[in-house]
Parts: sequence; C-alpha cells; structure tokens
Amino acid sequence: MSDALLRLDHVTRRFGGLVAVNDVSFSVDEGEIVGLIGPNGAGKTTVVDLVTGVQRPQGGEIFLDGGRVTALPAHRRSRMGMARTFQVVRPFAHLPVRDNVVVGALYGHGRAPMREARRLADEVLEMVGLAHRAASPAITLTVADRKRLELARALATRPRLLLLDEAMAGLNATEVDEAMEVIRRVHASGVTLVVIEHVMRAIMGLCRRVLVLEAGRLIADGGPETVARDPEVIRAYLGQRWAERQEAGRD
Amino acid sequence: MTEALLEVRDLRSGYGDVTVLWDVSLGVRPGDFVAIVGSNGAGKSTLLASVSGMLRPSQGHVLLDGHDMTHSPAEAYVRRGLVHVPQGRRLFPGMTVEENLLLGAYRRGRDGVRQDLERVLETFPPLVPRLHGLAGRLSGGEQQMCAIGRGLMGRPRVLLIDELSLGLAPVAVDALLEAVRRLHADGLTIVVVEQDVQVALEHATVAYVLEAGRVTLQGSGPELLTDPRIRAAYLGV
Ligand SMILES: Nc1ncnc2c1ncn2[C@@H]1O[C@H](COP(=O)(O)OP(=O)(O)OP(=O)(O)O)[C@@H](O)[C@H]1O
Ligand SMILES: Nc1ncnc2c1ncn2[C@@H]1O[C@H](COP(=O)(O)OP(=O)(O)OP(=O)(O)O)[C@@H](O)[C@H]1O
Ligand SMILES: [Mg+2]
Ligand SMILES: [Mg+2]
Repeated sequence: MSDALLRLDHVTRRFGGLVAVNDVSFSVDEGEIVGLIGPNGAGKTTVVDLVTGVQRPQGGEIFLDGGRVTALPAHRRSRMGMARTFQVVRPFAHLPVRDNVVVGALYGHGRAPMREARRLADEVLEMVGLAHRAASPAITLTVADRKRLELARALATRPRLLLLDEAMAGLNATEVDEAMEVIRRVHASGVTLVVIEHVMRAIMGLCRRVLVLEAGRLIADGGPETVARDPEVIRAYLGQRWAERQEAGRD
Repeated sequence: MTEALLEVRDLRSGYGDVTVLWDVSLGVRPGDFVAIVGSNGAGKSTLLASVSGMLRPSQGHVLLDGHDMTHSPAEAYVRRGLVHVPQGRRLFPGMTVEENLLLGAYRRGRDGVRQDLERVLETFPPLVPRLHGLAGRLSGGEQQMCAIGRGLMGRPRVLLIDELSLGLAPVAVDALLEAVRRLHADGLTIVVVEQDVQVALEHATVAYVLEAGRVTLQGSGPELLTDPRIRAAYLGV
C-alpha cells in the first residue's frame, strides 16, 4: 500500500481552555480535491496552520508522503511541497503584482534563482488569469483579483499539496464560476488540493469528498451529496434555508 | 413621497486622479432595505465610503435628513445616526471582543448598552465564549460577526454594511439575516452591499445595480431577481 500524500493522526490543538482542533484524523491521497467545511470557529484555518507548520499540535502526528513532519518548521514543509493561501489576504500593497509572485517563487519548494522565479511568476499569473495586471500595484486590484494573486503566490512555490483557505470569499456567482475553472486547471496540472470554503456551490462543484469540522471535531467525511443531506451537517452548518433550497432545486 | 433619509445626487468620487463613481444618484427612504449589487470593482465600497464621510466626493452632494453633508467629517454622519461597517472588518486586534463591541456604543451614553450587547451575542452565539479574548485571535467569520455587532451597538438609524455575508457559514448568514430583518421591522433603515445577489435581492425593498461606477438598473429586490439581465450577469443561470 502506498502512503497518502497527507495524513493527520489524532491531531489536537488547544488555545487555553479552548480545544480548537480535537483529536482529528484524516488523510488525503495524491490527486484528490477534498473540501473542508464547518461553522465559523470550527477549526478549519487552525488545521491549515497545523499542516503547514505555522502552529504545532499539542497531540498527534502529521505525515507528508509517509514522512513525519509534525515538528518541522513551515519553510521546510514549504520546500517539501506544501503551500497555502491565507483567508485574510495581505499582499505587498505597493509592489507590482508580478513582484508579489516572484517573492513566492524565490522562497518556495522550487527555490528558483531570480531569472527562473520571474519565468515561473509569469507562468502562474497566466494560469490564474492575472497576466494582464502583472505590472499594477497590488493595492489597485479588486477583491476577486486579490484572491487570484494570493493563489498565484502559493502556486509559485510549485506545491504538490495546496490548501486554499476561503479563496472565493467575496466573489459573486459569475466570479465563483471563473475561480472554479482556475482551480480545476491547477488540479489538472497535478496539484492535490484541500479547499476550505463557505461558498457551497464551489464545494459541491469541485470536490468528490468533503470533510466537516464542528467545534474542533470531524463530524462527517463523504461525498458532497451525502454530506449535504446529513442532518447533523444541516443542523451545524448548512442551515434549514439552504436545505430547503436544495429540495426546491431538485424538483 | 416621504422625504429621503439619505440622498445622493450626481456623485463623483474616486482615488487621486482616478474617478470610480460617475454621477451616481440614489435615494434611501426611512424604512428602506436597500441592496447595492455589482461585480468586483464596480465601485460599491467606494459608494458606501463616499456616503459616510470616509471618502471625499469630487462632485455632487450627499444629504442626510435633508442636510447637505458633502463636506462634513465622518463624525458628523455618525452623530446623525449613520453607521458604516466597512469591508474587511477593521477591528482593534489588541483589544478584547467585548471592548471592540462596546466601542460601537461609545457615543450614545450607557442606557441600554448591556441589553444591546446581549442582543448582539444572541445574534452571534460564537462570540459568547470569545468575549474576553483578543479580537485579533478570532476566526475570519467571528471577526465579521464582531464588526457587524459593533455597528449594531451604535443603535444606528441607517446601517451600511459592506459584504454582509463575507466569510460567514450558511447558518451564520441565516442568523444574521434574521437579525437584520428584525431590526428592519423595528424601523432601522438598511443599506447592504452583498455579493450573494440571491440573498441580497430576496430581502431588498429597493435595489441598485452598479456597473463600472454607474447605476445601470434599479427596482425592488424581487423585481430584479426575475430580471434576465440580473440572472445572466450575477446568478450564473
Ligand atoms: N491564537 C489563538 N488564540 C486563541 N484562540 C484562537 C487562536 N486562533 C484561533 N482561535 C480560536 O480557535 C477557534 C478555531 O479558529 P479557526 O480560525 O481555526 O476557525 P475556522 O474554522 O477557520 O473559522 P472561520 O470559518 O470563521 O474562518 C476559533 O474559535 C478561534 O477564535
Ligand atoms: N485605495 C484605493 N486606491 C486606488 N484604487 C482603488 C482603491 N480602492 C479601490 N480602488 C479601485 O476603485 C475601483 C472600485 O473599487 P471598489 O472597492 O469600490 O469596488 P467594489 O464594487 O466594492 O468591489 P469589490 O467587490 O472588489 O469589493 C476598483 O477599480 C479598485 O481597483
Ligand atoms: Mg478560517
Ligand atoms: Mg467592495
């Protein structure tokens, strides 16, 4: 049996009395797109922090490709092929878009020399559909384009595993469709994805498998249709209005 | 016709030499629930900033209760009961959640502050255990709840919310809408900018579509919800 690309084994993270991530175990195989959903404060961003090494768990282990990474610093994990986007995007506001991405390329997995970093930056800007804004200062980007920039910065590290933390927040339906296209392209280029999103349309459309966290615990793991009909998930996360709309939509 | 609570006449506004809003006019009557809809970059946030004194319009007028406020500071708007919850939260990260919420009420005396705090916490239960923690440690969605909660603490007459549902779980959006609807029923006038056009239009008594800095459509929410132009451009159907 080959190892999963990512595996969490009984991972726990506390903040004082609060157990933000509580004995969580799951694995992600190479080539998957897995959704991670759950109510506000459920622990989703904390899971991303733990996986990428921004934070350490108090209990449990994390494996990349079967190798233990639990105690490795974030930059080591980045070089091993892990990348993430941040929920609250903070680009270097006055640097051009392209330079923002070059910085990512210089530090990541590939650790490319400058010339290579520039070429890589142009390539990922093309992939996310931001090539035409390459020379603009990041501050002049719209929310949708800022999200694309954040994705490009992560891609410039040439990740094998990419965790997207609400990459579509603040986009309208049309823009969500466009973002889904970009994410499919990224996936097709060989990147394994974990997608955190409150935009359910995107989760349902992108993921074959969805994990649900509530109050730090994993409460569901299954196909999107099954998960969306799970009464626990409806109670804790989706809400009655969403469930009713789905029903109406099926008729 | 009732006199407009908030009136915008031929407004031009932007950043430095860049004009973002071109001759925008709109009226908000007492008790309206107004939705502003438009793509990223259409100028929605710029519009809210320009009608709350955060950004100085280069032309045109903003009237509140018939008073010309165009050259007044943001303070003066707040004093007249207009509260703006900007996009991107802007909490004080080094202060506790409770302190952030109470800041929203600082200008209106102590009366009823505790009750209002209770009501905000009923609307946003995830904030209850976080009350004495630092706002900077909140999850993304919890920060949005805190920012809107702080706005409500000011007991506004007109509440402007930019990106109502940003980062909120579906259940939390339901709870927030329910709360906003209750406040609206009690007489609060509301202006929301919202990317989830379905959610925005279902509730709006009046809606404006902003495209490239100009108002291109207006009508009641339900009217616009069935408009083919809206459905094609914003609902992806
Ligand atoms: N450094 C910290 N100190 C104290 N509490 C924290 C810290 N970081 C996170 N928390 C708390 O841990 C819980 C989980 O937070 P997390 O950011 O992982 O939630 P989330 O699932 O990403 O939520 P959202 O959907 O709102 O982004 C929250 O209640 C949050 O307030
Ligand atoms: N501080 C700024 N400096 C320069 N240009 C800006 C600034 N803020 C916004 N802009 C530009 O003004 C235009 C309108 O932006 P605005 O934020 O008002 O749009 P919006 O409709 O709120 O979109 P979004 O969905 O991105 O929030 C955009 O082209 C944007 O790039
Ligand atoms: Mg989060
Ligand atoms: Mg905006």
